[in-house]
Amino acid sequence: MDKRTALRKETELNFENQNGAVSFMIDSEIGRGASSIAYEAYYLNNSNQKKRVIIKECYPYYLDIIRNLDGSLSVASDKQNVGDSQLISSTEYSSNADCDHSVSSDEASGFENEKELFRRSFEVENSLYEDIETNSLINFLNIYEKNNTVYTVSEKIFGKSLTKCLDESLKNKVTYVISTAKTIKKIHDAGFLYLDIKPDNIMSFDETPEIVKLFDFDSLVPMNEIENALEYRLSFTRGFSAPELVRGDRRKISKATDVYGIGALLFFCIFGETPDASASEKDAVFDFDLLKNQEGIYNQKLYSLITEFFHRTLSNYIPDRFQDVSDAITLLQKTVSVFDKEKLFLDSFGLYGQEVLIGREKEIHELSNFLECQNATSFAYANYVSANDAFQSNIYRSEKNEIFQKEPQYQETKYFDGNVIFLTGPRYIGRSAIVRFFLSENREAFDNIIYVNYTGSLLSMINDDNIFMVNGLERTVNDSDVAYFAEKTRALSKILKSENDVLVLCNYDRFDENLDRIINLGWKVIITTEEKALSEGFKRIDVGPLNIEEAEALFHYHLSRDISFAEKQALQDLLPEINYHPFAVELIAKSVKAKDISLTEALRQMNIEGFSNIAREKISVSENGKYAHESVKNILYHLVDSADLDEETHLVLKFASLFENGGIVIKDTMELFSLETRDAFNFLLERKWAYLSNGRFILESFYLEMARSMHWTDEEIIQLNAIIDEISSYIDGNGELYQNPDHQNQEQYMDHLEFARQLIKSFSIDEIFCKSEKFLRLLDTTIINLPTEYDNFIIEKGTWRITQTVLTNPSRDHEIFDKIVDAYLLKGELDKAFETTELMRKYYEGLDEKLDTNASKQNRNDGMKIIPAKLQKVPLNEQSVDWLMGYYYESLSSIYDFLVDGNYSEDSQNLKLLFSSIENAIKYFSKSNEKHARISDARLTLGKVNVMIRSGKYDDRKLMLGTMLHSTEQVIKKDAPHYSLETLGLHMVSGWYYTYIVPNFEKLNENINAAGEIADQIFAGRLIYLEQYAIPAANMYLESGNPDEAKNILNQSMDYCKSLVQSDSVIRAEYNILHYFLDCETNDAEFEKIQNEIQSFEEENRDALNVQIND
Amino acid sequence: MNSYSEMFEDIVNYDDEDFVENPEKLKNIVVSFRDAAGAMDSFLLMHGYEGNVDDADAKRKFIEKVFLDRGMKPSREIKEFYRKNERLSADKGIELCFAFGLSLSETQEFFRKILLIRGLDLHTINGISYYFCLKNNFTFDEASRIISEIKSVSADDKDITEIFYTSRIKDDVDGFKSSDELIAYLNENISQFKKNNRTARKNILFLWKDLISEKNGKNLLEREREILSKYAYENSEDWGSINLEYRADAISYQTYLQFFGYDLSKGRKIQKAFNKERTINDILKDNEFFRIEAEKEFPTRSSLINIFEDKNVKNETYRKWLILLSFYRFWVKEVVNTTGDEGYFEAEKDDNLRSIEDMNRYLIESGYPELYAGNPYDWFFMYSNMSADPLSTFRQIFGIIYENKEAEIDRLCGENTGEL
Repeated sequence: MDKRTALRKETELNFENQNGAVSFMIDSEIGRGASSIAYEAYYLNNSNQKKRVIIKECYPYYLDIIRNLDGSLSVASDKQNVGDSQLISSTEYSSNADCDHSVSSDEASGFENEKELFRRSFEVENSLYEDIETNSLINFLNIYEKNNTVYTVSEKIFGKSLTKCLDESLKNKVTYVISTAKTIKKIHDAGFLYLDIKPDNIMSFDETPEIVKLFDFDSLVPMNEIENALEYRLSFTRGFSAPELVRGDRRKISKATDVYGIGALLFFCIFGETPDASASEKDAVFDFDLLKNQEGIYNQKLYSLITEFFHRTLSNYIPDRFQDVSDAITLLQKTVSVFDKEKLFLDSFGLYGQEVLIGREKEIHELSNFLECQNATSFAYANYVSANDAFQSNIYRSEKNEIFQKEPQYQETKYFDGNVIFLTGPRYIGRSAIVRFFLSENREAFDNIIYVNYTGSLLSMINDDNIFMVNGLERTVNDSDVAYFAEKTRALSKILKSENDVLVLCNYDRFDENLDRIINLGWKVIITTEEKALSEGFKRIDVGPLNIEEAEALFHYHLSRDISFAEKQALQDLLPEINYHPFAVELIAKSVKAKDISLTEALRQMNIEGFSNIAREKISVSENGKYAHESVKNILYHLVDSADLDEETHLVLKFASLFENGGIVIKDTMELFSLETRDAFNFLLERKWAYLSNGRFILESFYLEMARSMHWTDEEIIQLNAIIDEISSYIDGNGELYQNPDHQNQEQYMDHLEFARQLIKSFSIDEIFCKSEKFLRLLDTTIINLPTEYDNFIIEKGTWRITQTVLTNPSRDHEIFDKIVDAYLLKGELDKAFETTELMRKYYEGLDEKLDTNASKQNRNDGMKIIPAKLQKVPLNEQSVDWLMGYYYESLSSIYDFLVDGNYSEDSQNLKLLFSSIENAIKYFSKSNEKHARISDARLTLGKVNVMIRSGKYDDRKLMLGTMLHSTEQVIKKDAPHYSLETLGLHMVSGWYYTYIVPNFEKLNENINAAGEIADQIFAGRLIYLEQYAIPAANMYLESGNPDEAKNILNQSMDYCKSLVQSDSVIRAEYNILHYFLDCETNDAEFEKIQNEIQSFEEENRDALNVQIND
Repeated sequence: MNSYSEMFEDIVNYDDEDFVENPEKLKNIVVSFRDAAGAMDSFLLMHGYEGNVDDADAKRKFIEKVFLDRGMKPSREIKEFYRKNERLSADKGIELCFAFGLSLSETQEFFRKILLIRGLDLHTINGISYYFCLKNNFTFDEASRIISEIKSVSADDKDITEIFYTSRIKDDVDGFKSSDELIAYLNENISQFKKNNRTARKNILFLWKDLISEKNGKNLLEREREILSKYAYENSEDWGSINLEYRADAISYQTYLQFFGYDLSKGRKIQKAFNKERTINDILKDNEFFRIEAEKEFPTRSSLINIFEDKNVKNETYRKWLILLSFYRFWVKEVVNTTGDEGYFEAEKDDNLRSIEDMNRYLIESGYPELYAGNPYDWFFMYSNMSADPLSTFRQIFGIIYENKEAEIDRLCGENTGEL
């Protein structure tokens, strides 16, 4: 604590000077520093007026100096005994008469040194006062010696120290600092360093902030003596002193030390505290929000200038500071000119940076030309190189300080006339990212950047003072919208200069009558939009998907790890699936990273359930300035939610999302949902959210995923359920085509099936919906009626159906089992086919526990593992169960028939098993009188007869075979429709009868023609036509010695194949037909020709001949 | 004293190719750091000892005589100093300063360069008392008397509402002329001396928070991790979890290891070998590439967490964490913002010096002396700072340190078969 005793009020100090005696009266103490106490005093001039002065008394704080009664100062006695001495009272002087005046030599010489410094300081101050402008420094009038100390007298000035400036305007504060800096500059020019810049040492004046006065020159040091003259005690004020001064590192103290002080002074004035270590870093960031809250908004450029000022003054590293105060002054003056609050200015708003931009070189280049960024860097690059050499690519990424220019691919310069440019492209394709990246990288090249999202009305947007803040302009209650708009745009036209000011209008989506006015205000305007039509007449940059290299690089960037060779392949498969959409790339990469899975697994998952279901883990994204940490599904949901689409568009999106590959037919969809116009479809097509292909409306993959995230309203679900019902009914009603001989619309029927198939695929993702009754009905009917060529779909969905859901209709369920078995047979997967029949058996057995287990055991394949997950007991009587087992044996028989493969004459185990299965099936079917059972019985009997005839073992059993045929004919003609599999079968088996047993070409021909007529009807457009009719028919002709007839049928079969939609199954069928030609050909030359044909066919269709049909 | 530290300051400027490729040279440098006895020898020589430097008994007697002449009695620790060759603690060191009649500034230098610790800590009763007495030429006994008059801190003492930072305390104490004034002041403000290092803690929290602050979804540590796993290390899986959690009040083992360039597999081996907490201190011990002084209060995960939680932590811990964090933060910002082709990074011109200045600023502001090349811990950072890729150089040094212990680690891992 400071225990110095000041002179009392009304102490008279009488001095002598050259003019005689002068007398000063002490009024009050006004302050004390390390080496002195300052008083306010006065003297009387010749007119007897009080003239106020400041008197400083040399009285060092750190020395043990006491005040005597007469007011003089003396050094106290030796410190070792100070514990016994009295404390010196602050209210009275001690009686020094009996004081021990013995002085420690250190204290005494210290006092003498201080007095000498005091004198020297006065000389310096005086000389400075003479050398530089008189309004910057206190005028030191004279120096006196008395009371064993030294006094200086200086003018009293009526101002206030800068410690009291914190409530003043920013402009004033900066002006004070400029004034201070100018004075410091002059002190430097006079050869001194000041080294004690702080608010306490600076006096300001209310009316004239341009003038400040410095006082307290105790710390003044000659520049050329700083290192050597230890008599110059270096003191420092914490917070305002540069690090080298705090450390006492004389070698580094220089003008830059005072530059620091100036920076610290401004820092204190603005923030109310002194700068700490973080404020002195080279890239320090300053929070001006508090300033904004207190003083309102300033031009954005102001804050960047002040930031630059602090970087160049407060830096710990001396060379980074201005080396001369004049540079600091220049920058501060620039600051003043920018923030003049009296001037109109526009507050820059809304621009947030884009840290990374991959690719988009062309777009950046064009934007750069448009904005004519000659001086600023047009864009910054860094090579992107992955660890895998194969991923070398010229990808460009923003780096804050390092700029690498790659050879630009677009050497020609495209100059844009006009001040408006549009960036068009679908939403989330990255239009705004390009703009943001470019502008934030080149921020310094512009005075004002306003970045806004279009909200439906330019008039409202301009009138909104929160967005377009023009300093000095404020809307009053009397201002109408139109009037204020006019006033504001007038003001803007005065402020804006085209080369320095930019408006970015994002997501402009409709014609706005005020656009003309806005774009002609005198700035550059960049408009991003999905609506290409709005850009007509203006320069335009079309932003589309990334190219493959860019997409890969972007993926790598977000994945943040190396990928294996296998993953590389997966990536190359994945990217085209999402059409190189940049946001999709980002979402997928981040999902993979979050879930820590391989790309191969991600691709697999994506193919099943879409990319939004790759991971449920949350990821971080930033879109249009909004940061989100959510699952991909939720992110997509928020995107579509914020797209502000109307109800119809919502509906179309949702519905279209159910049909990933196939798309939807616009007309049908309009009918289904009673839409009056195509507006919703056109809207999505124009914005490239969807495209048309073969007359179908298909969503682009990114928007498909967005749409899948949408929730269905209750009303929409009701509508959808109604549609599902209708589809199911249609398929059910038209599935048995032979029941409707007039059924013409094969194409429509297949369309419905395909529609159903796509729906099923989509709904399968929804765990709840896919177990609803309506969905299961649709699933059943689709599986049953789909051509077997859709083997993968039938197997996947059918297996799920029979193992994961409840089966409730055994008499129908067998069709599902059958279909699965057929599909496995088509794929050649016999084990799986057997497994499925075993499931069927267990299902039926499970319905009644009293079933004859012996019978079931005979036909059971050992080692079956599959147990149905959910089988519900259906309360049927024993008879019902019995005939259902017939279906089991029938399915089994189809497998053995496949294994026999037409070789009925060979005595094989499979043939025996085939026979036995048929017999068992007949046995069980005959136990029921139900119509279905009778027909099945007849069908199987036909099958048995077929085997018997073709085995060749029953050639002499004409009567028996004929009787069996006849009896089945009776049943079929009575119970089965004409256009049915049973009737077809009857004619085919009869054909065989007339081929092998009772050879009769006429009868044979008659039956083949009849079968053909039925097959044409029920198998139209399906490959099964060949298997069930054409090939066997050709075979019959061949066996009966009519190769030409056989060839005719085979030729018709080839034509038939060519009429079908080309698929791998069709190609395989054609291939088989070619081989059958060989069987029919006796001519060597023709035989060889066919062989050559087969060879060529193999070469052309190598892949298809090895591939199964896929959905 | 100057020539000793100058020697190390010269080495700081060596081309880093010189001994990174030649680890033996690093070992030689490490060995060159003065041990406690060597430092004391140079001090004695400067303060009147004229006998044989190798004669420990003669030196001991010299010291004892100095004490006796001053009317002081040397403590056992001082008497046995040359036998044990352990650096003196602050409390014993200050006795020497009084005995040898050092001024305040000489005492601060003695602490820094001989004891390699912070100078007088004005946030402690002892520190203030010694400071006051040295400044006012009072005796050691007087200082001891002052200390004995200060009441203990009790549970009844109110929690402080205003922190006295060092500058305030110094200003107050500078104004006292008598011991009684000081005693009164200390007793009145006893609560202030429950805690110290407020500014140091504030700075450490600031540095840490900046490291874990996210920008565009990634913080500096994550961004550096990506660069390391892409370019610096072959097996990126050894970098462990990619998705680490970063908190303001905790530091994961992986992040801690990242400072030193150790991947998780190394970290796990260290942990398994020594059956200890997740720290690297065990490989520093008895390592010929690492001085014991540098090892003392070496930054650990738990000490940083203690700092976060404002628990009692030694001064040296604060100091070493300040140095490590300010060094790492400065360079990691440069690395993530400027790493170019194939992970190549080169420090910008003058950034080496900027980094040193920044680090010194954090230290001085926190009440610690600036970096000292004669301090083995400081030296690592000063040396690394002057290379073209400071973080890499720093990590190369720690790589050498690890390799020196690798055989032992492998052996211990083989013996310790239990789960971690």
